[in-house]
Amino acid sequence: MPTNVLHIQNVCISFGAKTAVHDISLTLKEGKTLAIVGESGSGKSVAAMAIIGLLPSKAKIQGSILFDGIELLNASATRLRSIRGKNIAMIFQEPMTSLNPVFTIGEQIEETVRLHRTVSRKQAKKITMTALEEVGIPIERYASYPHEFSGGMRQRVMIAMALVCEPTLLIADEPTTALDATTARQIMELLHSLKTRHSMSMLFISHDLKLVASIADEVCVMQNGRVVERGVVSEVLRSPKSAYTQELVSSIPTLGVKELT
Amino acid sequence: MLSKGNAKKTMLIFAFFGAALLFSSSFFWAISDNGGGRRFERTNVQVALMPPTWLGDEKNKHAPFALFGTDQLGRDVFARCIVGGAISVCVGLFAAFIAVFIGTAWGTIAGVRGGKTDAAMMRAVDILYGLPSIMLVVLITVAANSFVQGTPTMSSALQEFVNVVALLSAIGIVSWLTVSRVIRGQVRSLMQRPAMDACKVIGVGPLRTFTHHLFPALLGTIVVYATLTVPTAILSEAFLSFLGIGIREPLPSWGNLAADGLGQLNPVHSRWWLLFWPCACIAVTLIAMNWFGQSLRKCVDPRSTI
Repeated sequence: MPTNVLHIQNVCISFGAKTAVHDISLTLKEGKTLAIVGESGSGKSVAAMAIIGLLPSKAKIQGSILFDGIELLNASATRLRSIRGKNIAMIFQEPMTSLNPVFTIGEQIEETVRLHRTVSRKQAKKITMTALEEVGIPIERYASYPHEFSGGMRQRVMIAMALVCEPTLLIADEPTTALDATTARQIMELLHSLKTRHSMSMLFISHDLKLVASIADEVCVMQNGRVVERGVVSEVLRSPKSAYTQELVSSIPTLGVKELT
Repeated sequence: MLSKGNAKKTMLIFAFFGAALLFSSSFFWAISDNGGGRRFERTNVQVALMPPTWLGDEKNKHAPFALFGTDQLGRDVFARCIVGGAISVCVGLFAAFIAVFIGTAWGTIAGVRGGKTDAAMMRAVDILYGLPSIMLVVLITVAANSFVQGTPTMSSALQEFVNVVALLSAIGIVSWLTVSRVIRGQVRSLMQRPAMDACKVIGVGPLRTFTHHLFPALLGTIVVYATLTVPTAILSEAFLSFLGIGIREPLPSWGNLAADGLGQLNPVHSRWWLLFWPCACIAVTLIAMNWFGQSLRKCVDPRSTI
């Protein structure tokens, strides 16, 4: 029986009078991938930000988010800082802007290593090189700046940065949205193989059911801040129960000529 | 290999070093002492109120060469202008440093904390904007001066020093407002960058976020405002010395030299050189520094139209 890496229970998130997430509960088991699917504004990204603690202070969060038995919602700032980057890593939608333009990518990855591990500068560089190699970036690019990379390569850098401390949980918030279809596919394959090799759990947030079908074990469909359906991916996609999921499934474009009406 | 732009830059750098060298050698000449006191304070009433020697006036046929002429006590105006300039520029630099330091700290704290802290801190800036800053400077310097005079145990050199420090701190304390507003705006926009979220996500602490991620991005703005604050501070110092509450005799400063010269400009005889040279020095310095600051701003922020 695998243990629960992440256990979200009855979480409500509201911004002033507007409630973005209504009472959601999720469980992510060790080594599995859970996908949260939904249209824009369905609350999926807000839920992810709540886990990593990126919501602005005006957001009200109720309920409980347990990570490896640690309650994240009332953990101290120092405790959270030591968990972030080390145990929970996150990949963002926009690899263009998430990297600091004034540092080389090597320096940025090394910063993460040196923040969470007590290693010498030399060792940190070595770990960084290994991470770069693992995500398919030639190590000569260590001293390159973010603007010298293409979108797909930047996302690889973000992945290397996320994986360098071998986290137990990886949150990927629409990691391929800003990329073109073939690059997206390569990144997904990379994520999947790395996830298996490092036996991580992954929380995958997307609006793309096709991607979800290829990578996730379980899926959770959200609409207007509520979970409308959840279950094993193959079952949910083959025989969706809620009307919204059916609509989502039928909106997957198929190759062929079909004119918009 | 030297392109047109590069050649211009090289020329400017050499011009800058040339000017600096000329100024510093003149400074050492002015404070040098070849018998009879340091040049800028050596008095010689016999050659008092001589116009610049190179004008070939009948009166100074037998007087020693004085490039800018001499004052009522026969002191060399050129030497006094150079030493006064060194004092004025020093006061300007230190005052600007204090202003930029306070402004950056205030603006960063307001920008990072946001919300009520930000609102309270920025309203404080608004209120200070409303106060006439020169009045505050006058209050501080006068208070410092009376404190110095009330302490008879101080040596006169120490008294002079305390007065100068009080003056430059007073100018610094009232000039940080604009810097703090600009820095706060920059910090607010930088904090919106996803890279800042990314910092938080990889577990970078608040102090490190500031020193390694926020500060390097702010550095350009800070340098630009520092260079633009220096001329303002020099002008405040000159203004106060002109009024007689800044740098005092016998220490020269462009402000009190100009004040001295003004009295010599009257219908009976116009000894223009006493007023002209210190004013020209102030004007040239201010124009050069403003121009330098503006071009620096153009480099740092190409979008700004000014």
